[in-house]
Amino acid sequence: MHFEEDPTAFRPMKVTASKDTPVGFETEPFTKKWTLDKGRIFQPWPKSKTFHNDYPSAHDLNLRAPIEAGCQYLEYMGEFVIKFFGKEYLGAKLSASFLGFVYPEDEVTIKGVVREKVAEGDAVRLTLDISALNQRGENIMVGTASGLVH
Amino acid sequence: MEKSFSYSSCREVIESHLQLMAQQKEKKLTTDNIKIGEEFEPLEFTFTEEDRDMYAWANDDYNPWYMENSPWGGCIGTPTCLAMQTLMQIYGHYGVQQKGINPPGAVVHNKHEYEFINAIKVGKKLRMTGKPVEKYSRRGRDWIVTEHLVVDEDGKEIVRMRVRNAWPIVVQPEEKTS
Repeated sequence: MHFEEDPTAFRPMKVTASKDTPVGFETEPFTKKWTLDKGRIFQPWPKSKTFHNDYPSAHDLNLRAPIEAGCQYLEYMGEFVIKFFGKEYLGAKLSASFLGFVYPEDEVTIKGVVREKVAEGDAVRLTLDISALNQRGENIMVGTASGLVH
Repeated sequence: MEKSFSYSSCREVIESHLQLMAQQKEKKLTTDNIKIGEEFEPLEFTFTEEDRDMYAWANDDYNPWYMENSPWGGCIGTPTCLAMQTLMQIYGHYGVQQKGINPPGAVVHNKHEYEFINAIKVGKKLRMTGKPVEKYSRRGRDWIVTEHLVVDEDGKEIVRMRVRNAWPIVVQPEEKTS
C-alpha cells in the first residue's frame, strides 16, 4: 500500500538565514492553496457574510467569487519570515503590499531573494525581496523583510 | 474612564466588529472624520488556543512553535496574526457605514508593515492601541494610514504595525480620477 504524505504537514526550510547567506540567494519556495472553507474559518461564516466568505456578497461587488482577505494571505508572509529567520524573526521587519486577488482554489507560491547583506557589529542584516505568485504567474503580493542574523 | 473594547479572544474581536459594522448607522469613515493623531479606542483581548487553532486550520500552518512549544516557553501565535485586529480597531472607531458597500464600510487593505519585537504567547492578554497618521485622496479612493502598537499584560511590546487602507473597494468608472 502506498501511504500518502500529509500535504499540510509543517515543512521547515532546508536552508535558513545565516551569516553566510549570500546576496542573490533564493529561498526554498512554498505553496499555499486557498479554499472557501479556509476563508470561512478565517472570517467566521455564517455569522458574518462578507465578500471574503460569501458568494452573494462577492457578486454585489462585481467579483466573480469571494476573494481571500488580505490579512489571511499576509499570513503567508509571516510563515516565510519565521521559517527563514527562525528565532531571529524577533527584531525583524516586514512590509507587504497587495497587488491582486486570490480566488477559491488559487495556489500562491512564496519565494524570497536576498537583496542586501550589511554587517552590523558581529551580526549581518539580510534584506530580502519577497514575491507571492499565483498559478497563473500573477504577482498578488510583494514584500520586503529585513532581519539581523547572529 | 478611557473607553476600550474588551474581548475574551482574538476571534471574538473579529466576530463582534464585523457584526458591529453591519449594524452601524450613524458614523462614517470619511476623510473629514479622520483626525490625525486621535487615539482609537484600545482593543483588549487574549490570544487563545482557539485563536491559535483557527490560524493553523485557515492557513495550513502547523509550525511546532505554534502547536507544541516554542523557544520562549509555551506556544506562540504566527508573527502576522494581529493584522485583522488593526482593521477591527479602525472599524470600531469610525463605525463605518457606506451605502452600496458590502460589508458596510469595508476597506481595501493595501499595505501592511510590521516590526516584530516579542513573541505573541498563547494565553496572554494583549492590548492594541492605534491612531491615524496620514489621510489623502488619490485615484478615486480615500486613503488612511494608521499605526498600531500591541503590548502584553506584562507591559512587553509585542509588535508595531503601520497599515494603509483605502475605500471604496470598487471604484466606479465615473468616480475615477487621473
